Amino acid sequence: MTKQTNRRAFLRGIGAAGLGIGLAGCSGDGGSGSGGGTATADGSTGTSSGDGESGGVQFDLDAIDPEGLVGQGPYGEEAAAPESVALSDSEASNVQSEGFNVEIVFHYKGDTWVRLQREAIKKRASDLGMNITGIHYPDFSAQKQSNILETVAQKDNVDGVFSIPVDTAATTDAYQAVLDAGKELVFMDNVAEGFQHPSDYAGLVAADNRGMGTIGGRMMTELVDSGKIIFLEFDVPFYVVDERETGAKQVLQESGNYEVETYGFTDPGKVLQVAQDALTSNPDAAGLWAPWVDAPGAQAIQAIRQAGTDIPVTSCDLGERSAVLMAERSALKGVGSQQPYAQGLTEVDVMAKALLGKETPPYIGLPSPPVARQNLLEMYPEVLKEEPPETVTKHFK
Amino acid sequence: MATTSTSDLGKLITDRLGRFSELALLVGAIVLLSGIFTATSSAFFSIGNLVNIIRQTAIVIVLGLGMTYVIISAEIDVSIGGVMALSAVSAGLVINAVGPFAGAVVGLLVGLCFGLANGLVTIRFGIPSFIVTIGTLGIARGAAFIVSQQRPIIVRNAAFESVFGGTIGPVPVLILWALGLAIVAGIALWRTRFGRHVYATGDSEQAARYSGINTGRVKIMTLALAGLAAGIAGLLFIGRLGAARADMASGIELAVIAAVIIGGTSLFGGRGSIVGTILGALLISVIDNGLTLLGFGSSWQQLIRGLVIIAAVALRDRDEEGSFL
Repeated sequence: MTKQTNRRAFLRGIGAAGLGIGLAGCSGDGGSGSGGGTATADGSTGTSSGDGESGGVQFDLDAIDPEGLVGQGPYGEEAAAPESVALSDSEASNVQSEGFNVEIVFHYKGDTWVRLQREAIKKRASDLGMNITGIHYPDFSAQKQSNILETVAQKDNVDGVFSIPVDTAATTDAYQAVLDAGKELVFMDNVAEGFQHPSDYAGLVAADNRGMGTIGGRMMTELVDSGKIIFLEFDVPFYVVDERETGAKQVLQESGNYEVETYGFTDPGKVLQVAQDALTSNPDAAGLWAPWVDAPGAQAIQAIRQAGTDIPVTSCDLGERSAVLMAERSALKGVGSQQPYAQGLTEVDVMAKALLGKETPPYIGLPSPPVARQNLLEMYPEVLKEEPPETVTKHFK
Repeated sequence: MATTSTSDLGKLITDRLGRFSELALLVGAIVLLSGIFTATSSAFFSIGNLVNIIRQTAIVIVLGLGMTYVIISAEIDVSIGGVMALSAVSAGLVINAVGPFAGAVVGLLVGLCFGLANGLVTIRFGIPSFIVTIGTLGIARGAAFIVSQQRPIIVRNAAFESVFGGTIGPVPVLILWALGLAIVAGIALWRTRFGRHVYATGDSEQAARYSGINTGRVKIMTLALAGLAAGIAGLLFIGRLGAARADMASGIELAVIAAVIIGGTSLFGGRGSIVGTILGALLISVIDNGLTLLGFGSSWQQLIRGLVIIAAVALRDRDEEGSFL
């Protein structure tokens, strides 16, 4: 009897926990976690490595910046410039008079890239009189993204869809459903497998992710002459991140001076422990590279601080968190940045041209600028289209 | 004695009516929501969209079939997402290397073996199934990443696709699989001796044991069925998306448990139905689909799903101990 009662009490506990978790979403979006970059009372994470412009480092940014785009389009296409899809006045006016409806199907939500893309698309679409009838975030799930795309395909009033595939192979049928429904498709960063331009999609607008990795790798070679580099790698298959990893690893391996120690993670919000373990296993590590800052890179920096070392970190993506980390002279010395806002504006122009029946290039690439403390205040408004916040500027006073 | 029999009959009738009213409430909720979505979105009540809703529910239904058995027997299985991923990844690799039949067999075997392992460890070592399946969730998910080498396994096999992912006329095969399996699972639960043993084991394990039911074996079998269902769902996932990924179906166990609970199955065992699970899954899908059509994102879907779970349980009759679950 007691056993039965205990079992019921136990199951009741599970029930409460299960429903609580269910309330939290019935989905796994990786979480956000916490980590480096949390300012202490004196406003510093405490890993100051000098008082030079980039935390003791003055990069030769011209040498680091790849000449042109490193990566190519999915079919090896050379990149067209964003200016190639600039709308004429008459085209803009025609779009405004049509009142097109468009939707956005992202891969997930909650980071600066998504926010800036969303804001840029909304801004440009509003300028052109396009209505955004839905914005979707499928939590990095190919199945959820397919469900959403198939549902959006049923909406007669939607003329076009902006989307970044979670998985280029697994979502092909869902994108085909959108295509079969007669909607224009503009891809961000990668195209669904087997899709051909111009019959299947209007265009691909992409950041040079391999170039971003190259920048991080080259920065590391300026920071460290030789030795062991801890290389954090995202183990979930995702083309964009794979490109960054390839770019960075290529630089380090081709130089022949570095021993790359790879540590994989699957949950971007739980990298702190992975980084701690990597540092414990490699006390002689000379540097660390992470595929993006918020949160994996930031948590790695937290781990470095807790380990009491001051090895440099390079990574990808400029956002407020990476800006604060560079401004306060933490272990983060530099990043290869995307231009998500500019990318979003360009995507709307491609969509507008396609909806008007105009020709569009298959692949438009946006260069990835290197950003370090020395050019942070200049690059922040250029990339993020807003003035750097007080959390950044106070470190330059 | 006669009084007792009458009382039992009365209890049975009341019980059945209670279950019927719960299912009717679910149907009513689905119809009401469908009406609202039809009024607000012209796309909702179209053949294409209704097929979409059922297709999008099919994998949750298949997983829910096994989970219904497990929960009715007063156990739980939170490993199904990981097992499904490992089954799919293993099947995908074997399909590409050997062929579709071998791949399907491997996928099913992986699911069944994990289910059996869950059952055997739970019963033989007396470890709660919640703990055991948390462990196997990690094992299966980790193995899926290792086996796939962190890459998606792309499967382009016409024979496999026609069986698990094609269409027969306008009807996706996925729906037929879900429907067929649901009928088999429903009949087995409702009309067979094993089904009655599952209910009896979950209602009162001690009483069931005194009645001569091998409750340990029943629980092992329900957990094995949940594993097998995860294996089938993995194959259906490949059929639907043409690829298997180690991170697929992350968090799906909670969606499946939610569907089962919304469908009227008691988390403490002893009661529940396959029809209820199907209706619970459909209710969630209708909400997700309708909100997507109206342009609301996943945040709203999560929020409303949470409210529906609480409402569904709160509207249910309390059991004899005064508990909702």
